[in-house]
Amino acid sequence: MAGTDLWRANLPGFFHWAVWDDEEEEVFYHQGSGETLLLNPLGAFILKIIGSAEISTDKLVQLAANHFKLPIDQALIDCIEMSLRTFAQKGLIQTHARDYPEFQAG
Amino acid sequence: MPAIIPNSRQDEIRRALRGDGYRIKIGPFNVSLRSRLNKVAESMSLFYGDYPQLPADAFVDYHVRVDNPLGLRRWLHPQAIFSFDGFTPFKPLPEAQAFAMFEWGLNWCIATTAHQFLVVHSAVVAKDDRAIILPGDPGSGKSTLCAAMVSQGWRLLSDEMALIDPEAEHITPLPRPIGLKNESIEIIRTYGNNVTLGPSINDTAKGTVAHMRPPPDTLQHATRAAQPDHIVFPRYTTGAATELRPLNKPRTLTRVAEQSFNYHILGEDGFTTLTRLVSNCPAVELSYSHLDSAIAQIDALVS
Repeated sequence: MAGTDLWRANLPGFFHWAVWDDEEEEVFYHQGSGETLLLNPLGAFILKIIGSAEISTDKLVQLAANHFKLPIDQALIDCIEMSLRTFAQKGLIQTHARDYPEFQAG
Repeated sequence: MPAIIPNSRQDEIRRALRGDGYRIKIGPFNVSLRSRLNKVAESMSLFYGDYPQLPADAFVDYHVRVDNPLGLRRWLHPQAIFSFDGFTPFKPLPEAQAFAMFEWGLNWCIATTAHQFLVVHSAVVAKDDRAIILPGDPGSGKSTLCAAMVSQGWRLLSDEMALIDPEAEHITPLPRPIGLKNESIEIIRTYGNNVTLGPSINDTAKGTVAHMRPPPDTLQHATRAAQPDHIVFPRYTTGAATELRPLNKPRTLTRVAEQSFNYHILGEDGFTTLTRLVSNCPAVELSYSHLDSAIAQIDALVS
């Protein structure tokens, strides 16, 4: 996947979260697909960001590095790309190339 | 010690089963069972003989029937088949399993239709209306532990299903016979007081099964809901020391969701109900091999 492709949420209004102050992990429920996922902090961060706005992989890597105070290295990029693929396979998010115009019905 | 059911009561139940149906209230559900089978009549007398009977004009949630299927085979190898509103969801089983089939069939009816509740595959027992939810996969020892706790004075809400009210967040009792399998049957037969077991049924899909009759006072509280207090995931392991390990809330939520029959149907309501349950209810994993010690640990949770 290209680092500049944009990721967006499928039915972000159907994103629901169970979050507790004293827990690192979070639980995500997607009303559209029925998926319930136990997420580590990085997975939860990624889905929350994409749920709020379209974003490229490159930008997501930058935000995650800042948020978790991590260096931008291949391990972080691989981890984020794997999470993106998993979420996409489950139908929670989708990607579209920045260069292609949005299809306009009618 | 077998419970003594007067012959006149047995005859009454047998006539109802062969007629318009033996109509009783089981927890929040009105059930009508019809059957011509003597084994069903005997077991219904033993296990459901003192359940509240419904007036003739009462609405019935589940019209079910357990009878021999038609055909020549019933004369050679008698079988029983379960039907719900005329629909037969399962293949016939040997007639000896007819009462167990009623129990399994009623579980199926409730799990597939009672969506006013979040239904979780779990035993539930209570002390002072504080409920312990015992979810568990087959073989986890949940029914054995439930039966032992009930024989030690805990109130039985259910051996098989936690009916969680999504609004009130309490658990509605569904007291029914406790299904025991294989080695658990002898363990419970010799454990504690107040234990009445029905006949053992061999060669079922689950091995040998027998049912334990809920203690007589269970029905006196059959309409009194209880508040979830703890979630305990039992895990029976031969020779294991009794050990309680706290579970974090996110993992508890996903584990309980996996044990729910209708979480996926309730959608957002199911998720919200589970989130509240897990937020208000500490969860532990209980490894055990010794019933007294396990019960003492659970006692300590609510004391």
